[in-house]
Amino acid sequence: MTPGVARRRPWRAPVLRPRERWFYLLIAPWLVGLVVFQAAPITGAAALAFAEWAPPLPIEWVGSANLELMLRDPVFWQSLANTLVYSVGTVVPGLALGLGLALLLRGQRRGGTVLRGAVFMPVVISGVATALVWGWILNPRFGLLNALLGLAGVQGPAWLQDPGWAMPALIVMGLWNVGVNVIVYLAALNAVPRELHEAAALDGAGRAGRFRHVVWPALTPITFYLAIVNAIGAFQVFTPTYLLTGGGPDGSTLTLALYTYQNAFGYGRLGYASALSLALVAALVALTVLQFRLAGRRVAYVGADG
Amino acid sequence: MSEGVLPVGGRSVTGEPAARGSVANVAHEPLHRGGRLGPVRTVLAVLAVLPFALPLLWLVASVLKPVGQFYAFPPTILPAPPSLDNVAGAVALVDVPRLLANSTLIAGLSVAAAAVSASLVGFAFATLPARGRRPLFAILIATILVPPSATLVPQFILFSRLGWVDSYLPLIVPHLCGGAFYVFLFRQWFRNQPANLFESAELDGANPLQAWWHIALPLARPAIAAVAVFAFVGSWNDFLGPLLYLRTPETFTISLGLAAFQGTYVSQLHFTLALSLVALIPVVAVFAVAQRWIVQGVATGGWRG
Repeated sequence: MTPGVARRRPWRAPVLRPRERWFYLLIAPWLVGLVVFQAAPITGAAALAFAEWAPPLPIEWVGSANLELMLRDPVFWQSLANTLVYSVGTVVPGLALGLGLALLLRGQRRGGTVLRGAVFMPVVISGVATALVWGWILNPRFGLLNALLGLAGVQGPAWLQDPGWAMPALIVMGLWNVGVNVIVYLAALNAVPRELHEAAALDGAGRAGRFRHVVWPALTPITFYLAIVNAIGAFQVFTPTYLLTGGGPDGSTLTLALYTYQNAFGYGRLGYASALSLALVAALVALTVLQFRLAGRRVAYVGADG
Repeated sequence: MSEGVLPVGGRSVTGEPAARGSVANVAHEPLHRGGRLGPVRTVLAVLAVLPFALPLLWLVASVLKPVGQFYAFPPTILPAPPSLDNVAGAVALVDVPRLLANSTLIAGLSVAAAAVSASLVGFAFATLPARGRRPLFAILIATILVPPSATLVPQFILFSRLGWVDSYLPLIVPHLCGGAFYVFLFRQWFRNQPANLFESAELDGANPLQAWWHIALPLARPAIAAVAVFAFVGSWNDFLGPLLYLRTPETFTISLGLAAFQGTYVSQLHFTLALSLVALIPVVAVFAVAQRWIVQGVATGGWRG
């Protein structure tokens, strides 16, 4: 290559080099899917939120009526509150439980694979089967949980039929899937450079000190990642409340995803359902931004501390 | 490294040396062996894991009980004598082999579609430099975080307009487009192969498509295994998709069939739970065989079931 050519190469507009042509050809399946199954539906949802449509009737543009209705709809606010309670109730304990179990299972020589497998097994079981199994355990008349409580002399509540206990019961069912966090934390723990452990040990740091100053700072990025991914999953909780409680009793387990489903496919109100799904995305974005804020502070603090 | 296996201390799904990213060799981490605390830690770990295993053990115990013991309160612990009457009773009420066959068909086609398309797209992102590749990859990562429920209603409208409702197409066709997380897994894998591998193939006159088929895919068996297991479990367990798109009971998947069964035979819990047990045996079997691939895939970035 002559220096003259290397000095200044004119920008060639959309002419693709052969390799680039291959690149775009090979990613075409994904690009098509991105447009057809992601971009177009999201645009469609945004548009539909300003319409009412109950096929086969023609589509009717209603302006901001759906959004106004939503803000005045007490059921919407209840479902949003329930969704937040479920998300905070599963994500925060889920992170603590995931890390705790990972620390406990780490370095288990005997039966380590079996123990990790047992913790992760619930994750691969379908939501339907999970819901039915837990519905049986929580059964007020025949369930295992109330039998165990009875042994301790406690009269167990009606769980899923009790407005005060249905949501906590759903949260416990959600925490049964904490195996993902355990596996991710195990991998992250293993990625902490050994030299850091050794240096800290030489400095006289004990187990607790090493965790606080070496391990935890290294885990903050993955914790942040898990918090966001777990929150996205928790926000969409549908199967257990659809199958076991139908949102009841007294709307205590009506989540935003279930309310959206009911409006779209139960009441045939596709416009209002789209407005609700936009609200779900907006709430999720707000939560993620909040998490970024909190994490930013936290990471800076840990950095200064360690 | 031997192909098709993920050896401990070899490469993980990400292609990084397993010593850094893999869970498989956590057990060999010397710094945390536990020392004198070893047995205590083991007991603690077993106790902590018990709540995760107990519901499934209880399911098995309950289903094997004769009906009288099934509804006994306080319950007995073990079935005496164990019997398969509940399973037989449930199987007599609903065409279980049909449900299992439907789920197997959908899951099988989904796995094939996801593995082929995701490996192709991941290969392109890993090996073919092009203008626009970086922003496109950023979009790919961003779509991993888009909640599916945001697109639920318009997607349903789209599929109804296409006349795909009450067919398997809405459950399978989207897999032909790769799936962002699967693409990401393959891209990581191919990036960590020696770069000149694919260049030398090109020098030999192979085009990228041929290089993908003849060189990349045979090397990618561990990544294919991880994606296949993820796609299988995700498809097998999917509930909302079949709930929205399948109408004819003969086409139901096992998950949807189980939910429908529960709605029909509300008072026959012993049959419903027997069917639940039947429904989860195939995934548990897959998990038992493929735990290593699942664990490595999850360690790479979470669960996309």
